[in-house]
Amino acid sequence: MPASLESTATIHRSFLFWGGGFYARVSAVLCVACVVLYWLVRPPGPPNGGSFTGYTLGTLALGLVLWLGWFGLRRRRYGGGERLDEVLSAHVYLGLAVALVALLHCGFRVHCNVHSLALLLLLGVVGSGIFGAAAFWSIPPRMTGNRAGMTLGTMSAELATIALRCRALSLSFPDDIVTLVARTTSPGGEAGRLGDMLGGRRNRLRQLNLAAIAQVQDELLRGRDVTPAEVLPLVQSLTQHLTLVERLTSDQRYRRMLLLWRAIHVPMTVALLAALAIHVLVVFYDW
Amino acid sequence: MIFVRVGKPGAAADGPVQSMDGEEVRIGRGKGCALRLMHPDVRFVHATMREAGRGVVIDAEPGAVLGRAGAPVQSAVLARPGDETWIGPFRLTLAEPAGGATLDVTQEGAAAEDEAALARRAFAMFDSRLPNVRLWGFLSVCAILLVFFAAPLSLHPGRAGIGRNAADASVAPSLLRSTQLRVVGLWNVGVVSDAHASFGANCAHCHQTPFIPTTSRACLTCHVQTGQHADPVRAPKADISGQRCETCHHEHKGAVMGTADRQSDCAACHRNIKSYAPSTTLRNVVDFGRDHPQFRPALVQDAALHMTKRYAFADVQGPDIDALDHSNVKFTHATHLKLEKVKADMKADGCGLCHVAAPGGVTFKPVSFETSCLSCHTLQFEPNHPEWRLPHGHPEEVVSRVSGFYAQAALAGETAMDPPTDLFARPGVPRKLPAPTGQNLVSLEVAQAMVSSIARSSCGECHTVLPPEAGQPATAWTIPQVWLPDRYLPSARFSHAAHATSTCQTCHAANTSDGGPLALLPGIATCRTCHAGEGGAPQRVSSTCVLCHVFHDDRLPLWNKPHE
Amino acid sequence: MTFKLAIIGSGPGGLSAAVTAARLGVDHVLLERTAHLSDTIFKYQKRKKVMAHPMRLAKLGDLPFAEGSREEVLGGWTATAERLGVNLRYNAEATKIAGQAGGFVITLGDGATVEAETVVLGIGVQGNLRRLGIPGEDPTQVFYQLDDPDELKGLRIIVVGAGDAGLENALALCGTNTVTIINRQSDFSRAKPGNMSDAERAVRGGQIRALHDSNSTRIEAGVLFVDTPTGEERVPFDRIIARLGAIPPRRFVESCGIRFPNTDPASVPELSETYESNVPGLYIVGALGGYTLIKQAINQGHEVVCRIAGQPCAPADEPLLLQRFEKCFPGSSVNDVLAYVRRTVPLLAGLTTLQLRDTMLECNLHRFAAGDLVFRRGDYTNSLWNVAEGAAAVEIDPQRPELRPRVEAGSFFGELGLRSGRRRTATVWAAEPTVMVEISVPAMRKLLSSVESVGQELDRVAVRRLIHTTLGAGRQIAELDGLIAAARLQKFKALEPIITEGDPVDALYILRSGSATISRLENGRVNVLGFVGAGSLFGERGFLDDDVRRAATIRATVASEVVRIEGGAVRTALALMPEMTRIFTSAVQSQMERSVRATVADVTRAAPVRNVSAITDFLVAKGVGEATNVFIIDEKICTRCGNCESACAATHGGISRVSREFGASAEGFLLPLACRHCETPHCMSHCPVDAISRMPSGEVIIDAGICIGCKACVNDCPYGVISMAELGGDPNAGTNWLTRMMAGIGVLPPNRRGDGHHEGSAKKAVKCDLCRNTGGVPACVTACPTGAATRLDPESFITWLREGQRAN
Repeated sequence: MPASLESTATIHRSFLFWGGGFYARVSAVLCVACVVLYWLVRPPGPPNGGSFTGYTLGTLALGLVLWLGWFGLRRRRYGGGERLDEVLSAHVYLGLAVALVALLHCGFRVHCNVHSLALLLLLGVVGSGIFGAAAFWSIPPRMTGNRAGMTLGTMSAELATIALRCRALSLSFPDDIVTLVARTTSPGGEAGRLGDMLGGRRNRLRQLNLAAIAQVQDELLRGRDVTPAEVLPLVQSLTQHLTLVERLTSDQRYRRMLLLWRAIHVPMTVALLAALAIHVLVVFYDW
Repeated sequence: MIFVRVGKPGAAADGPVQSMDGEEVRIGRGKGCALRLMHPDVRFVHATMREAGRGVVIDAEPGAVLGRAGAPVQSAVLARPGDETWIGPFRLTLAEPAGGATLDVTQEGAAAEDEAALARRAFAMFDSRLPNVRLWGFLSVCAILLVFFAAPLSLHPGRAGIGRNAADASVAPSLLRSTQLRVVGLWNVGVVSDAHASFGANCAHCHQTPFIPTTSRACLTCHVQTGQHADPVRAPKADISGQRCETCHHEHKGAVMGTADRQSDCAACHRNIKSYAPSTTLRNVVDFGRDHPQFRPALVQDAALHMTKRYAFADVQGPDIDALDHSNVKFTHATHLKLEKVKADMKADGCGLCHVAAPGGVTFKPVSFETSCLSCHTLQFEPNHPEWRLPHGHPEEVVSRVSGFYAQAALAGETAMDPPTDLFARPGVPRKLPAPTGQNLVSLEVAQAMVSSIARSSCGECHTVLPPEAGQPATAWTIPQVWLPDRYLPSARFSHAAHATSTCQTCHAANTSDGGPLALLPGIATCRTCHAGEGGAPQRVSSTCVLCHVFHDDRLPLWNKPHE
Repeated sequence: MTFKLAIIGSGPGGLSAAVTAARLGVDHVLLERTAHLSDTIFKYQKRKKVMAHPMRLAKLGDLPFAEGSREEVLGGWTATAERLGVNLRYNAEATKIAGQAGGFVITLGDGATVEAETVVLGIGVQGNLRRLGIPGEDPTQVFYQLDDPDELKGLRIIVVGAGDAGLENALALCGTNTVTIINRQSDFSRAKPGNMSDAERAVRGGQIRALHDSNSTRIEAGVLFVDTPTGEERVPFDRIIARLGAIPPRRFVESCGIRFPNTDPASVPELSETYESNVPGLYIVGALGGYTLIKQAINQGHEVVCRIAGQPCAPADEPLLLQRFEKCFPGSSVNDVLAYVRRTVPLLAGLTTLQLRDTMLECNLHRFAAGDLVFRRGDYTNSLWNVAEGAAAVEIDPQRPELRPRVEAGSFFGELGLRSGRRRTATVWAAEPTVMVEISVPAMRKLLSSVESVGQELDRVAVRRLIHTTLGAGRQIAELDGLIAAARLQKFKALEPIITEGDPVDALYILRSGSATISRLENGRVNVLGFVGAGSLFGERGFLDDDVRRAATIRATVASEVVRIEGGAVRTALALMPEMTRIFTSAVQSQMERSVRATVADVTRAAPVRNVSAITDFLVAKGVGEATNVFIIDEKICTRCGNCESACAATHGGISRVSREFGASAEGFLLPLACRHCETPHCMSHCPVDAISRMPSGEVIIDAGICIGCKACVNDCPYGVISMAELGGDPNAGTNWLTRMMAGIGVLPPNRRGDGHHEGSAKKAVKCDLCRNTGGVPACVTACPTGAATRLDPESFITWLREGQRAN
């Protein structure tokens, strides 16, 4: 059947190496061609977008940008025959190329105007894209290591189990411990809040959990009416809870790094398209 | 002694019966409590219970409460069977006394929080979502459209009420104008040249119709005097009316207006000029250093009519060139530069003795008799009366001046006069005149003799003099009009000022030349010692066509004037 | 007085019989144990949708029946019964049937008797539920069914019995009530996996309290006394729901003199083609006779009465059969064709006419010209083909077309695919003008369960064929008799070793179904060398270089069936047929090459080598061994973007059939919850309407049009990949890329998934269909932006693990 007919060479290969870096080569060739054009066909006066070279590179860059932006749609066009990782591979490498093409188009000159705005936005989009590609390349292995064979579902289920155990164990301790453990083991806050994104909650949880562990251990020293036989299991459970929370939070941090760059990449692309529209319109409005 | 039966969560109180004695029975989670109720809602030590008759009295510890949530009480008295109170989720019911007050303790409901729900909350808490990028995108687009499109569009002069040209803009309040400059500048593709800076924000001044490239019409509204490049009649193909100035003059590329000066642009036509202007005398040229034709100075053909004729150095070499020159004045640098007196004077101020740079230094003032010649050529004719001189530039007065002199002498009673000695004689020329004596002193013959002698010797020194024609009085000698052009190479715009740092001899072989003035005119070889075409030979000045030649020739019809 | 006809049980069968009798004016009586008609259907949950399957089967008789709600159906029946004046006697439970044709005496529960010449027994199996039977039982508190879970709220409910019915009720109730389950066993293993896992989850979550190893002893004043391992416990309750299952009324039936074929409690009485039991004049209709579908029962009731009344009556399946035979035998009558099949297809010769008719309903007759293609190597079809006339040619080895064993008339082929569920191993043509009978998988399954001889015949031939295909080497099958005689089938449970390293070499093995791993113990740790599927030969090396000991361990990954050939016979065969050694050596060589390449790969690979055997173990533990096409995500590349789920949802009406975050992961590989299209799909086994089928291209699909949402497959699937979901209402309807991009209308949240935990008649079972509706390329794979997702068969994956990884 179709999926298993594909040769094993194409199984589980990162998009960066699609077709043995086919699109890397393509965009390299493109860049070289553009640089040659830039050096051979000098316009009268300084290199600029209004010259033959300028218009050629500009048209090319515009076409590339539109095609790259089309990835946003293509991502959502499901059920087609061709594989998305090929498209992404092309997206990445041609995205790198378009930055150079655009710089050559404007002859490396920047002023305070809508035309340079388009250029800067483009560079911003490419930059964020580079970060994204780096994240896509480097984070999944670490993330996998951190998950240690668990999924978000199993991890949260286990967290719940441990939390309940902690609470049950804490019952034979004085009230302050009970409340502390209760606070430690009851997850609060939804994902995606700004404070949380900056990792504020991560520390909060760690501190709380560490405090709880310390407190419980102190119970022995403070000579309250508890035996090691009571303290040990609770401390162990709380420690498991801590490690799991660490797992979950760093897992979340990883997923965030895989997500958040798009929060810059995508809106900037939209802005870029708007700026480009104005750029083209204005250039020909006051020709 | 109180009997207590505790049931499993959600089940009836069917546990083993525990008996609790002592005054106070403590209830709570702690070990110290006789009745331990394990639930977070129960405090470490929650309450104390004591037997009262066949019932019990329960008092909550300070801070703790009894009873259902919503109806908290501090203490509860369970007197009759069926009486009940609550500690957290535990229901304490007084049962039928069995040997003493008996208490059934049942726990209502299951665990505090069920695991699945907890897991769901954890999942939600550690899930990650992408922020609303769509919103961010929309906002940034709106911002960009507002600042970079709507604003410049509305402040664009001619579209806004701020006036269409620079003059109107200047009346607008300055703050508004500077803001307008900045905002409209957001559409500006590059720095406007200083020459056009005065237009300010008024793009419409040059960009007259949207989406149509600027035409020369826009430029020619100011640059009225721009000449054609070639005579539109003789070289219709070279007619530049309708061309865009932009093709050669690049605006928005910086403070200095860039102008195309590549010789390839000129060579485009001039490499095969005949096909553009069939009747032209111009030769084909591509590169100054390589194939520029020899210079062709314009020599005076008819001084009276200021007519010149062009010869190539190739055609005439050395002194003969002066023969072709009809400026009607006899002069050679050689003779003069040999004279001791001149040498002495030249020690003081060199060529400047005669050649004074015109203002701007591009050319020289015309050499005038008074300034340059008079010091030697005094035009005296009576040694004893040096105050009497011939009038330069007025030959018709010569007769009256001479006869007048003698008349005066006669009236003064002189009867005889020493014959004029070497008065008019050039050095080494013997005098030929008879000595005027007595009464013939004022005779007409003398005058005639005098005049003709003056004409031949004195004037003829430098001028061509023509004897009187038949029927004319013997004194009617004439001198043809003298005219010296200020440029011998009229098509070029050679600037002496640009070369002022080198000496005249660098180009003009004055010392060695024995020819006339034109003999000193340098040929193309001289220029090529320093200058080569665009790109240049090694150690040569890279010189494009426009270094010497102009594109817009103001001697031709004006560009913006329709020609017929 | 003596009735001409007595009908016992007013279920669909009985009632239909009575109605027909009433219309034909046959003097009859209908005895109903309860105070209402059709108790079984009466006890359905309120407003439960009653299905009218099989759709294609016509309904005979006057009893109205069409798909509709429980109420509609019952209402229609009662009305008809009254209109036609059925002589109906309620609260009349038959306790004994004595006598023979013409003079039956039926004793009723109240001791009264009814005499009749013929008896129609339509009591079904749900008729008498097992009772709680403890002191203090009060009908206002104790119930034996659950009409409408929504009616009960905030009650303390005890569910007695932890069978599927009990668990399903408990799960339906636990949301709004405090539910306790009393379970005889120590766990829920008696129930289907789905219900079991759901229930265990509910118990862990505290929604349900379970008392295992417990028996209810008595009821006192709203408290149930339960014997628990920890002593007696009192459980206060508002209502008890006892789901103790139904007692198959076999004892009663046998007491009437009716014989059963075997002691298997599932078995049904032997019936003639007129539904007459071995007791003349005593007919059996409906579920008791093994016909579980309502329509079947109705038709049988009608037919039986028609016969008794001497009315001509064609069986309901007559037109269907005619239609099936039309292509091959235009114009000839059903009975002729049946006789022809009986004569020409020995495999079906031993069937009763009824069994034959049923089987033929699922069969196709084909007429082939010489050279016509029957099926092609690699197809996933797995029906069984019988040659009635002519002969078929089997191409075992495409390299050697000259060698094409013939399958002569009276024999069959395709049994390997039928058993292993794997691709066809050979291509088959008709060798000459041929008539063939193609028996579909469901029909075959029914036959195998009911007629032992079929299974035995199948196995016998299968072994011959398997040996011939694997070891034949161009010989005629007769020359292999020595081997065949020494061969026998052996079954192995999952993870059970077939060959153990170091054992003496005493036999040769051919894997008939299932799959196995080849592993060797290398300095202490098990190193998996390979993964072999059905049809492959192993244990051969020992015979080449006269090893006395096995060099590797072969372990079944799933329940597998193996042909074991005694070593002696193998050695003699090798002596007789030297070319057989070539087969052995080639097998050995390919294995060695593989391992060599693998080691080379290990050395040259830059990235740290994945622990292949650990991964293989993980996959095997997750049951990938029986998969034909499994969805695997490389977590070292996966960015958890969830686009695979979105893609699945987008291409499948908004319901994703994949779930990453709830899949299993190990060694950097993730097995999401997604169908693996098993070789022998568990989900097919209990589908009452055969809505699940396997396509020739291999994918196992559920036909939503046929699915009745019974959740049988959900419970049968060991991997929890089937879920219930309301189809239609595509969230992407009326949206396009513009709305999706600009307004976010129609974008699918990655984790949306149909869930199986709610009842609901509109819900259908959904699972992966390998995107056959969108070109057969799995959208989840093509939609993966980073190339982490792959769908492929386990063998290729393992091969890639050992060799292909270098390509990355």
